[in-house]
Amino acid sequence: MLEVQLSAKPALFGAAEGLFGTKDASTAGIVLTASTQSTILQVLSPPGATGVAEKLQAWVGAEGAGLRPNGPGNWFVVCDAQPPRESLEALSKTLEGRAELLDQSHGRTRIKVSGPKVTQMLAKGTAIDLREHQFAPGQSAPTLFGHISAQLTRVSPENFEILVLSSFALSLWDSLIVMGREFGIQAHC
Amino acid sequence: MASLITCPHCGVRPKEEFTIRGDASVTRPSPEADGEVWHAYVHLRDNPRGLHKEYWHHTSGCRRWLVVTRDTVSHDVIDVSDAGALA
Repeated sequence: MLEVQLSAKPALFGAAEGLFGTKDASTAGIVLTASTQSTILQVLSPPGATGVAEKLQAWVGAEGAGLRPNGPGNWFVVCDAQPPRESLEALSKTLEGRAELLDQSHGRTRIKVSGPKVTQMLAKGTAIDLREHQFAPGQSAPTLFGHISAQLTRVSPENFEILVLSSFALSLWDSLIVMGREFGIQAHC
Repeated sequence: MASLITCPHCGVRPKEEFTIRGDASVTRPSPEADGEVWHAYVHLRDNPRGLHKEYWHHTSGCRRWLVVTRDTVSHDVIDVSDAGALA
């Protein structure tokens, strides 16, 4: 019988890196990076629960984290670094009975896309209207990116973040490189 | 086919993000109902020309069930609402 050795590896293990469609990094219209050390929490609340969004907003403001609404009663909280345990416990306590917190750090991957051509490139994958007055900095929405469901967030006018299931991250990474090639893309994870 | 659906939670999205379940006007009979009634509920559907009410699932968005009222002739979408309000 074939012995299968299971081993843990990062979602973007072996991902393509470097310059694509250009030979000079200064002319790259798109920069693709990944944030693999993030803490990602999913927050789920039952119908009728009130005040959850406000509590989350207050917490992400204090922690310098990001809030990504994923549908009614459903949010992602993303932190660049591991938040202190006491702070997480305090959040869980404030939401007791109104929402559940689940650690999804292992389950989702944050891919960051930026550059002057970023909206042109992302428009190839999603049907969200990416003009700034329709999808302003700070806005976030779950959408279909190519054939992959992902959470798209505009961090600033030329900075986007895609939150995707880790098992789809490599496939999405490769698609993003193909989409960005015509603008010149620099990828590193 | 209507190609743009205004999801009450997510805004305007293309039909590719949705899964269509079908007629939203039929109501589930009681478990004791006659076999004929169940047969009609499970298998028999109208194919209306004009206004049609359907369940759509926003599979690649908020994952909520919606009720979409659309015109099968003009492809106009008349109304989209969360199905939770019906339940």
